[in-house]
Amino acid sequence: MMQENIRRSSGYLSWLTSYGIYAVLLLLVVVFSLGNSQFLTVDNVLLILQQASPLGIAVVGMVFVLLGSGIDISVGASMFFVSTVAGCVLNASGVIPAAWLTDIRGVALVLGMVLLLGALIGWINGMLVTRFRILPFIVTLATASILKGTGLKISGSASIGVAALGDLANGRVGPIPNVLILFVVVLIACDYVLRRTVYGRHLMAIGDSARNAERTGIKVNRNIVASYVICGVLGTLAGILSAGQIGSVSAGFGEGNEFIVISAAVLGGTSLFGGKGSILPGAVIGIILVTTIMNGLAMMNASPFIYTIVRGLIIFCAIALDSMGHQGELR
Amino acid sequence: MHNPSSDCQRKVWSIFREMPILPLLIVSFLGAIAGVPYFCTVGNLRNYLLQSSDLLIISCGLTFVVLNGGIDFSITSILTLGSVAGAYVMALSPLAATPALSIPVAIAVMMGIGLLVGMVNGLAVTQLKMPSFVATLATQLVVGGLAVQFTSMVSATSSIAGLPEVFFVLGGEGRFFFVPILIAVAVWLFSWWLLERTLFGQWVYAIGVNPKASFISGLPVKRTIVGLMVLSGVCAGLASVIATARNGVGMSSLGDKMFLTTIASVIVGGTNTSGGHGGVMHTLLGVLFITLLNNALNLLGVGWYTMMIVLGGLILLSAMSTHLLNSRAGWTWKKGQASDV
Repeated sequence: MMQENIRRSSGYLSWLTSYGIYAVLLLLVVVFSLGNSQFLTVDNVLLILQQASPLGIAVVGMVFVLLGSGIDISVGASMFFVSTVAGCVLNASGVIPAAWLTDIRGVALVLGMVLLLGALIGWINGMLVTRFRILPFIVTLATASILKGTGLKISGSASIGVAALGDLANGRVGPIPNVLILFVVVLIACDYVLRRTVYGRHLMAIGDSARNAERTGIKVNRNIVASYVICGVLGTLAGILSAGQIGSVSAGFGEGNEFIVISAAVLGGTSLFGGKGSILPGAVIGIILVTTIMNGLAMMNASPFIYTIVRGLIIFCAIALDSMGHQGELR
Repeated sequence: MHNPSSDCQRKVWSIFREMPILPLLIVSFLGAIAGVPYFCTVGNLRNYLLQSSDLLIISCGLTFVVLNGGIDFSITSILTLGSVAGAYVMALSPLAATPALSIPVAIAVMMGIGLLVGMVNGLAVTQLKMPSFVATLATQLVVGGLAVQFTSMVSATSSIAGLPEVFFVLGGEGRFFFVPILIAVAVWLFSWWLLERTLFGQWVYAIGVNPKASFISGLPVKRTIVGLMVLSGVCAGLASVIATARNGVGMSSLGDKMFLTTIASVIVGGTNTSGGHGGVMHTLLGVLFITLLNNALNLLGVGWYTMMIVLGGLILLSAMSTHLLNSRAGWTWKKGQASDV
């Protein structure tokens, strides 16, 4: 009897967690298009996709970390930090030859430098989590505060222009935004890594049970560090792209992005407890849902303060749904 | 072997090993007296204790949660919402004309908000089985958003002024500087008593060390967890009363800087983030150290941005040293460590 109840409820739950999100997305699209006739137009859909792409790239990185049962709440701060550094490099005369600033070479140089920086940040996070066994949210909370403080000291909390990145971030190939193409490339590559490579399989196994993975000879620490590095690189790429979309880096840039990224990943079915989740379709549908909500709220002229509340409610519901079948410790 | 001096020495050493923050606190205090101009003045020392008081109250509450291996991110938003809601009751509501009525109501509202949010957190952790760090992140966003939204609805600016004069006594205005300090000491003593002298305290430690074993041996795990989340919320509510009274206005940005300092105080004090080790004695030292740092660096003209870097570094360093001290010379990380990363 008891057994049967559990099975039935978990069947219902698993249906809700795998298909519920599509229903919610459909419902929202209907509600928003009734609220504003401009919502369901090709232009606005492309706009939503363009808005979703940078953070979507960060969500993909977060999925890797979450799969290894970690979490990275330094994403927002590292977006701010690297964009500030990139802005300073682009604006400082003499660092890069002036001729490079206007063409692809300058952008490529900055991009390469920033991605290295992102890898370094991720590596530090990963080493602290694995070597010193500090809880991931404590580690990334601390690194977030260090990155934010350092970035603010560099910029002096002034707004820094990054117009040179505008072509990359706002440009379109025909009707298709550049960032969307980049997002799709990242999606396909990372989905391949997750599904078809040894690394992806190992990471899944570690997230499921690190102890068992260790016993079968998987290099647990190394794989987890790699997941943080991936998250760091993709997070900073996302940061640069969204800074390029806005055109400048203000003191509040990136703030709260970690919440959007985490809730999108979890809404897409990636579990906070590790070992369960996907990039295609999980991460994609998650970020599209979150961006649709924000876009819809903007089109319905909601008060900007409501956004934070809505964001909190989204996280709460997503995690609550994810946690319901959880059998482990309560802390 | 058993002469009193070696006993005494051993005791001192065990205290130092248990609380590495203590020598650090003493050294930095002496350093501040020697090296920081205007540190050792009556006015600044009084200021120092005042700054410590609300931090100590909010950190005592957080200590309970951290002892369970959890964390409470929502405390600073409780501080914020409490501040603006309380200020609204005292300055703008129909009760504002009679301070004798409005002040108790405001205090009740502020602590009630803490109770309510703590209850939601506790139920989310125990009933919905959410990890506390995401449950409280979500409530932090919601409650913080409510605070800003509420302020924008009742006031044209981001703060609510016009509080009754009598209320400022709670913030230690003028010759009443001892009031918040006494409240903080009372809260600390109560927390100490709760942790060290009651069954509830035993449960908190037991569940922090091994929740599964505690559950099997019949401890009320869920009730205890709800209890400590509520304690954390109520402490944040009380801290909100004192911080609001000290600032003289209800502000929706009150909790911004408190967040990092509170978490740093608890962790730097030496309470282990994976649970079961530490206590409010550690937290007291942590609070005194972090406030000292804040105060001294402020006097030296160092800004908040540097403080963010310093606090982040300190959190990392103390979490690392806790690990190294616990694993005896730090060699065990090499094998079998990744069991539950």
